[in-house]
Amino acid sequence: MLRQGREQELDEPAAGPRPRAGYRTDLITVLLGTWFSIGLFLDAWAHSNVPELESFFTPWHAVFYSGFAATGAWILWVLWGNYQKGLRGLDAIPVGYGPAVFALPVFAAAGAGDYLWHTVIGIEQGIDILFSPTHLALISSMILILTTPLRTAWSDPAVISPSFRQFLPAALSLAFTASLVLLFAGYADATVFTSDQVIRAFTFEKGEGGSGMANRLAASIMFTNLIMVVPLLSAARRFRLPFGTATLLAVVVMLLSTAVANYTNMSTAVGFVVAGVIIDVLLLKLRPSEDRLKEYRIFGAAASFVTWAVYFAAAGIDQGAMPSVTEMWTGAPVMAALHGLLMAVVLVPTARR
Amino acid sequence: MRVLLLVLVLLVTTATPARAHAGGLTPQDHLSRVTGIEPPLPGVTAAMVNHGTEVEIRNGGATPITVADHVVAPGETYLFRDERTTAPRWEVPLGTSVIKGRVDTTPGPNPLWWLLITAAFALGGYLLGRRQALPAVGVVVVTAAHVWHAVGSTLAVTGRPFVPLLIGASGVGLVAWPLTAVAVVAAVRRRPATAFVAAVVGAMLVVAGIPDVDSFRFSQLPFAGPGDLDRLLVALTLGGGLGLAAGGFDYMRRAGSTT
Repeated sequence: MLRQGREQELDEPAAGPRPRAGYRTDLITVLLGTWFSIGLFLDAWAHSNVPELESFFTPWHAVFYSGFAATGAWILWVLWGNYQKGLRGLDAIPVGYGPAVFALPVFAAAGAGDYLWHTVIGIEQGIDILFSPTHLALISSMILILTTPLRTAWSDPAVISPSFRQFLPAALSLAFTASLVLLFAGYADATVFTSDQVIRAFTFEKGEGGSGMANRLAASIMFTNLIMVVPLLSAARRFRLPFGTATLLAVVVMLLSTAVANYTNMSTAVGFVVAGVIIDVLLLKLRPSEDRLKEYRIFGAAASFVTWAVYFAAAGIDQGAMPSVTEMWTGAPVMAALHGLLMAVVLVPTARR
Repeated sequence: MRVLLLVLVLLVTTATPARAHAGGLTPQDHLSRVTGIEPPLPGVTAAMVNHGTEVEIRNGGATPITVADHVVAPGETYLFRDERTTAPRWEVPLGTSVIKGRVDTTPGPNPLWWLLITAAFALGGYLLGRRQALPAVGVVVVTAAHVWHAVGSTLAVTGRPFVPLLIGASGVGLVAWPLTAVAVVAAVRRRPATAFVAAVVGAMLVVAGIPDVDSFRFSQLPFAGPGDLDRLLVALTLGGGLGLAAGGFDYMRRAGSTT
């Protein structure tokens, strides 16, 4: 793994008997994970936008499952390499790869179950897709596989303040995990709203007390905020995050959300990427960490506030008007900031003494 | 090695089937056919396509014609599904005429023979797989069988673009097919990786072939070619893949135990 000041390209022995995956190994793992994540994004797009899915055997499923096969083959290759070096049993599994080795057959079994489910019960095209037991097993095992490079970095005490390139496998891992969690919270995903929908949702007669769409957007903002800010807060506890981490997170999540929305939410997506850049500046200036508790909490609040302030600004610029209920579009970023602060307090309740 | 084998066995026995029959078509014993248009319409033809699931109307005449609430313009080809075409003898209105057809049922073959052939291929694959370089030959043959089966299944589909259908039919073939070239290169260079790649490709192709076991027991297969040829390709993919996976891992285990 890569650490501050120098770069290690090859797998190396860890402190215990198990080896630690090298930078290249982790990068390949996460790139192959990207392959099957993109397959899932394509599948999500198809479920949302292709009205007649007649078969389980679609091109996007092929991309998804072939990506999984490639990832599985790669992890087996890594294990075999260690076996050839004389490591046996669990000792052949690199540090951080154990959950992925467990998740591979779980994913495969869930995939077989999903095939049977689609064949016998039918193909989901609505909110039921997010609650299908086989889909939940698939997504859980996917996350275990995708978070492998993050575990490698996390477990290495020498990795403290990595460069962006050094942190790339872990950052991609974090970003794709967040996007998958958001994918399965599609009923409360604020990123898929178009600018027109954002403006209309918070435009209502005050006497009516709101609308269904206003409730949905408000709930979606709070839910999406947690999914976007908690990964950054968690990672900031362990690493000094390099500039670009938040932008990468936003870009990957927008890859998913634009696909799901059939590319109708481009101004919203641009807003999230802009917010990502601003959050990176916050990371750079505040240097939040467990030891810098005040900055950590300010970061939790500020990152959330910026995300949603830019969200409404992007919608307003694109539509040429702001929502009519001022309390809603000014209050939502503040509420999100309070949630961000709360998460920071929960994750690091007090300074280490 | 035990962990490696355990993960692989679980992958092989449980992994999602990447069925090579494109377009959602499945093997069956019955097949719906058009017997004629009565009275005939000049220039207009009707046929059952996509394994007897859809009616295809080609209007080569000079006047538009209405079928299933759709007006088929001169020069147009129109595909539609109609539940009536599943009856033993059926009729569907076509303008002032009717399309007549029937469903033929043919008993399938005895699957035991095909399972025996699959077992024989598995034995052959195993014997090849446990050698140092020969597994690459087996990988090429088994992959070729899978590619042929996927292409033949895709060609059996009418009215949809070829490439997306082939990608859907290939499934894990998207990975296994390119890995075949890796196996050949590794074999030429006499690398021990040959056995690993052979085992992995074999395992993937077993996964790809499992859903096609149905081809062994049904008479009508959605394949552009003779049914027995498709069954042979499926047996080769399944049996050969299984043998290569077992032989390759056996080779790796023996090679690993000497290090």
